Amino acid sequence: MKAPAAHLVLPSTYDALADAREWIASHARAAGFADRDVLDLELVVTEAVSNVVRHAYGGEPGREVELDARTEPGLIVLRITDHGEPFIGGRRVAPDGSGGYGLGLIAQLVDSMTRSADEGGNTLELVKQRPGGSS
Amino acid sequence: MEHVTRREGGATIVELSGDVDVGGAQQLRDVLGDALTEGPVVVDLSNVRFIDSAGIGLLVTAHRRAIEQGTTFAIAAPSEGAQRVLSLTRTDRLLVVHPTIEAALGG
Repeated sequence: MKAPAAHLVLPSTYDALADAREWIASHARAAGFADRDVLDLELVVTEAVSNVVRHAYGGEPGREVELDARTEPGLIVLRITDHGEPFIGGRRVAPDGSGGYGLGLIAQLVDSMTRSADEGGNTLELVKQRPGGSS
Repeated sequence: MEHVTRREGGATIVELSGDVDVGGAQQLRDVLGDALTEGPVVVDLSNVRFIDSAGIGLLVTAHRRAIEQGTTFAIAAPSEGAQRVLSLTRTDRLLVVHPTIEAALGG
């Protein structure tokens, strides 16, 4: 199977979510993840990109959401980078306090979650191991 | 996301299919809101491949609205993908979830 591009730039709209899912699913399948785990990764990328569109960019279209995927034996590393509002106190807070399940879902579905912010943007790095070993 | 609404057994059945994500939230909010004005609602999730937290949030909102209005709101036949997210968010304990449409209409 030909590996999909490891780097994908999406526009900051909810219409891009389906593309994000298709992209991560093809990476995860190529890395040997089972259907259920592929679906979990689709959920992870959907929640993460939705958060960027809504909170980092405040719904402003025409900005960029960068996705990077790297697979190693038995795991996948997904990075979501934006150039919008940085994290506040370690987490993004919606002006109206809305949202709720998204970040909690991501935390449940990945093995590690690291946030960083510098002049290169705000990055959320997520690592998910493939159940069943490192072969 | 696609949706079909029909009346059956005294309830409005809203059949959702495809991917339900935040991009279709306004559409889903309208569909569920309209259905709730007619009385009991059953949402068929058997053809939903994928649902995100925004979709789940709208189901919870509709459930609460039904209680306020003194009517019922139930989920029927969730697909494996939908059931996964209902479980992860623990909303399967909050929402009324039936294994089949028949069970939802009979209950």
